[in-house]
Amino acid sequence: MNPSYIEKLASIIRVADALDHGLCQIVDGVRLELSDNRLIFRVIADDDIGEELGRAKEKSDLLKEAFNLEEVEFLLMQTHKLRILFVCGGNTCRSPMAKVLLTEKLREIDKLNLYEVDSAAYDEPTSKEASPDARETVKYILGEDLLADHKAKQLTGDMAEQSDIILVMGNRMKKGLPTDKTWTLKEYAGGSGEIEDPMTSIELDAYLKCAQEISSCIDKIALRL
Amino acid sequence: MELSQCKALEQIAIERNYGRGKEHSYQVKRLALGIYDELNRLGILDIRGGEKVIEASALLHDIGVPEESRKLRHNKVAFDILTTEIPKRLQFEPLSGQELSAILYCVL
Repeated sequence: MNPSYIEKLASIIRVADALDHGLCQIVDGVRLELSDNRLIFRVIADDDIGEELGRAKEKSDLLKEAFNLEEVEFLLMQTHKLRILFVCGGNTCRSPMAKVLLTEKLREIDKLNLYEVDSAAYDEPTSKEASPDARETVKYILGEDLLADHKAKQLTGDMAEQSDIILVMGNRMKKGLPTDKTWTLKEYAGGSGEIEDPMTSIELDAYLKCAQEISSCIDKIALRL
Repeated sequence: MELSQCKALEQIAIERNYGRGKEHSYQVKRLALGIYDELNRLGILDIRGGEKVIEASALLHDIGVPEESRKLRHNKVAFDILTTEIPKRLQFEPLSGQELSAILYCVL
């Protein structure tokens, strides 16, 4: 007999039971994310399910143990698309490239209908449009000038609040953003570090390298979406 | 576990109104299978063929509740029901020891 098999299945039943604690069947479903050995339950419901979320947390000890997790969290996700926001310095290069690369990846894996992807500038945008190099790079990688209509915009408190996942390019951009839903792109992809700004690089292929780095992170993230 | 075994086990739940009603048990089944799929997608489940155990456990998880639990612990009532009923219902298609243990652990 494999105790791990039994505990894993039992832990799932306990949490599912807790999510219908009020016997009202108000939870529509769950989406799970794993980040740094932290399992996040995004619980889909239209109504207030504070009691169910609290009960599920209480009943998650076995799940934590069976899957060797550091933390299990339960967050309400009202029935809307999961909003992912990319943030870089000026919203003219890294974050718009990340936005189109993730959008195309979601289209490829047939999950575009489940997510809303956007991008914003942490600092004041340096231009109103995407940088010509970023446009060329996206065109080179995706075969289309998908940043032609991009309009750079500054991050606002409302945008941060309404986003479910905020992925920043550099550590300094975490400052002032909600800690429970903000990661660097590399952290969220399971690594560490930052995506350097290609504008500050003297390398000729800095934009392509930057886009490839972003693309590699997105490929890893897409496996968990 | 075979589908027929799962149906035979559900019969035990039906006869006892699933403990707290069919709606709740079916909701637990739906959510548990959803969590199972999500854990699988994330690559951390490392279990194959657990769906039927999840399904049977979800449907049976409240048997013995609430009327009988006023006098006896739910666990004791459920244990008695399962250990007497499962061998009768599955006489010709027994569960594996692991599956039976998993269901009992889930339910109790």
